[in-house]
Amino acid sequence: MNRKDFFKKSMLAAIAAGAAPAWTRYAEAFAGLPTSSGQSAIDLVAVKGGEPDVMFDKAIEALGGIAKFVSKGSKVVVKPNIGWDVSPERGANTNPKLVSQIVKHCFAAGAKQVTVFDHTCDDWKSCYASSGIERAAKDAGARVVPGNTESYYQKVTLSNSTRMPNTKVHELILDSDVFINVPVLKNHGSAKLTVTMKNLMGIVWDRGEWHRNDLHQCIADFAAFKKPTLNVVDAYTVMKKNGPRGVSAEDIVTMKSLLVSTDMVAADAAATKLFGWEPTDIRHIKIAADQKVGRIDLQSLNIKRISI
Amino acid sequence: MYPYLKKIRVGVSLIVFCALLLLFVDITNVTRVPLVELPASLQFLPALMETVRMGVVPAGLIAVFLLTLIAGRVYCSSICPLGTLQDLVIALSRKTRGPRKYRFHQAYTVLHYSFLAVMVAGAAAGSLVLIDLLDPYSFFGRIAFVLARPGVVGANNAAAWVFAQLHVFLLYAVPFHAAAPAVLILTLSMLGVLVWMSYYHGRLFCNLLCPTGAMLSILSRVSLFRLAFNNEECRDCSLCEKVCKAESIDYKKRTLDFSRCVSCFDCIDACPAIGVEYRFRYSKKKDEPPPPDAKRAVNAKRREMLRQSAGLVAAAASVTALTAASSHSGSIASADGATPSAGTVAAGTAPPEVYSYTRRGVVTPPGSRSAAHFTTSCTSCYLCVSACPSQVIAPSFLEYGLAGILQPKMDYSQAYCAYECTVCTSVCPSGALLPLALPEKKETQLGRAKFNKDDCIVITKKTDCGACSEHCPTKAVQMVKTDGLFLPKMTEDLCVGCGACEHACPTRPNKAIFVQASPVHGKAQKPVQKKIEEKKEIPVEFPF
Repeated sequence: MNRKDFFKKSMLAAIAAGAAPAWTRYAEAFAGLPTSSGQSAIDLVAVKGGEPDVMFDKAIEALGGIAKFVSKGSKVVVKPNIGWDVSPERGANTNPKLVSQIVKHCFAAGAKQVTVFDHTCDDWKSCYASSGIERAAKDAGARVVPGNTESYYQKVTLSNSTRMPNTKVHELILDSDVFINVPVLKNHGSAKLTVTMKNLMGIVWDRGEWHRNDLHQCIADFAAFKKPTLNVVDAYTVMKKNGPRGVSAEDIVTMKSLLVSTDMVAADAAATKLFGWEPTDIRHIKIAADQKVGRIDLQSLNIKRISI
Repeated sequence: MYPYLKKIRVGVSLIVFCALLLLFVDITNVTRVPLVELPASLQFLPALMETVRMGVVPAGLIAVFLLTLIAGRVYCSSICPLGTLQDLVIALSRKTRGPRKYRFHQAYTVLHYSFLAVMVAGAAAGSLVLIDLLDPYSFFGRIAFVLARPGVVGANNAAAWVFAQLHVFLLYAVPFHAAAPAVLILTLSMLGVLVWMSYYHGRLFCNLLCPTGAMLSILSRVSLFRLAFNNEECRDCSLCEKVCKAESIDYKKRTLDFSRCVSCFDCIDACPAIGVEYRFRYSKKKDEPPPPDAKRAVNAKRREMLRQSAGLVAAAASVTALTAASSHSGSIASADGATPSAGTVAAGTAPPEVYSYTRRGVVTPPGSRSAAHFTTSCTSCYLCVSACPSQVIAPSFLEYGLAGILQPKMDYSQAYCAYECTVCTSVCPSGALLPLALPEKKETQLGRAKFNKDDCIVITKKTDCGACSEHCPTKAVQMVKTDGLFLPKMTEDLCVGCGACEHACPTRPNKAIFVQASPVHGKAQKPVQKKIEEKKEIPVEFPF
């Protein structure tokens, strides 16, 4: 039994036993615990008015620093949205400055390895180059790898899903200690809005299967399977229409905002409000909330708001 | 300098051969730089095609033309990759069969030039079938792409897989789509015939079938310098005849048929003296006059050969004529395709009521302007197919009819045309794909997407999908709320025919949305952009 087999089997066993997947344990251990100041832990940080890297600094500081999520010697995967062969100002991909800053924080916390990838829609090499993410991540010391080949993807069972009994997930995600999900907030022709849960379509192989089998239900089902360690929503340059690819720079507005949370539903709900829509109007967010993947009731959350 | 001629020829031919091979098998596209691309621009027939079709004279054509007028068919042994490939087979035959002893053979002049005449007439009439099959550079390109490249891709992907198992991502797999079986079989069998010909008969292909060889042979008849016997030096040892792979030297008569000579300089290298040398056409030291019986050597055997040739040429001519005729009716039919049948009639005027479009015609790559221009200019070298970063361009077999056999097509089942890319339009050596600037390319309509509502997931499974609209770079297909669900809606005037929607559409086996080829490429409308009122929307207060 090699390392990968061992990992796969142990993970399946963990799921079968109903135990929390290993990679969320660390974050969950902190969730709900009182912080040093005596207040209950922060569920979501919202920042506005700064540059992407500065906003991330503030947000992660409010959460007690990246070291609470990234332990020394850990293997980290940072998964931005690099889906499209367009330039950063078009807002179709995650902001490269934000990706770079997250990578730097991980290394500062002692991460052994930080890997960046996405299963792109357009030709991956063009996407990686045009988005500016490949350059930025490499300059920050990360390993940038392709997600374009089926052989990288391993079959996993989705025990809770009625629509999709299994799907194939990139082995780097399965093999990681820390998974940081970094979507860009934008309008989306199919999912209406793409934030944290929709961004996970970039770690699976066969997206067509999701499209064929009730897209919203599949997104919500997969969110229950795969919870990132941390979600960082880039709402600096926001595509308001013609998403997910966009047609021109006319599609975007500059919101200069950032959301960070361990709860995907909370992050998606807050992002939806920021976008100007109601969270319950986005079906996959509503289904995920109903399936107890996370919390949609923003009023009851402990939100830290920061203006720069 | 004579002793060095062969060495120089071998050196140059290998450099050119390797550069061209690299161009066709380079899966990373990093060698796509001017120095490597230079040999492609020197290829005679594609360059001539560009001149005939577009009226521009590429520098490469002038260079080869002048070279041939000065020194004969130097092209055939130095620049032509298929010539070098044959030389490699010949070298192999020398190794395996012992030193080859060629013997002078009568020229197939009538047959060869008749083939050329048929090809020219065919091209004029709109059928490139013989040129597509026999242009030596294009033939080589197909061998490299269809047969050699899969080996490179396979080796790379196997290595990438092994590395991936070790969680090392130094190499990455590249997409590969094998050519259609018919294309594979045709290329393989043609290569088989070529190898057989060169293994046993040297450069027979070049002096019997090759259109470029025929044209350059005509030019070399009037070249300024030519190889000829030096009667004072020749010792009648016969070594020159025995090494002449064009079988054009008759040592007994001391004649060298320079129109068939491929300028390999093997004879000069073999000669113990300086019995064969380059001689100025108008030098006072005249060539040995051909023996008096040379012109009257039309013996019975030769007559018989001519009779057979006539049959062959007639067969080639009739194939070409037939294909030319079919290409004409084909182009008329495809022009008809623009005026649609049942389903498409309404398109453009009113929203179509009947959602049952059927696929017609073949989508031609960007820069081809029209199917007619493309099919009458392309020599099927597959340089565009090799260069396409997204590998959406694929070899066809008979989709364009016999007249356009093997010419490339857009294959949206395997990929789609990248909106921000113009690579193919910049590599074509024959002018079949003309250069397009990026803004121009983004408005070029290769075809128009057609939506078959009854096949769509949203209708058949009653769930939202939107994969087509998601991938569309111009939002020619948008999701519109219909009965509680979002259904695709086409605005065909915005469509560029890139095939992203067709590729992304998850319905099987029939795609609910597909690109209908435009026989003449159109101009897509620029997407209408409503300004967003407030460009800066930094929230004053968080809405939560």
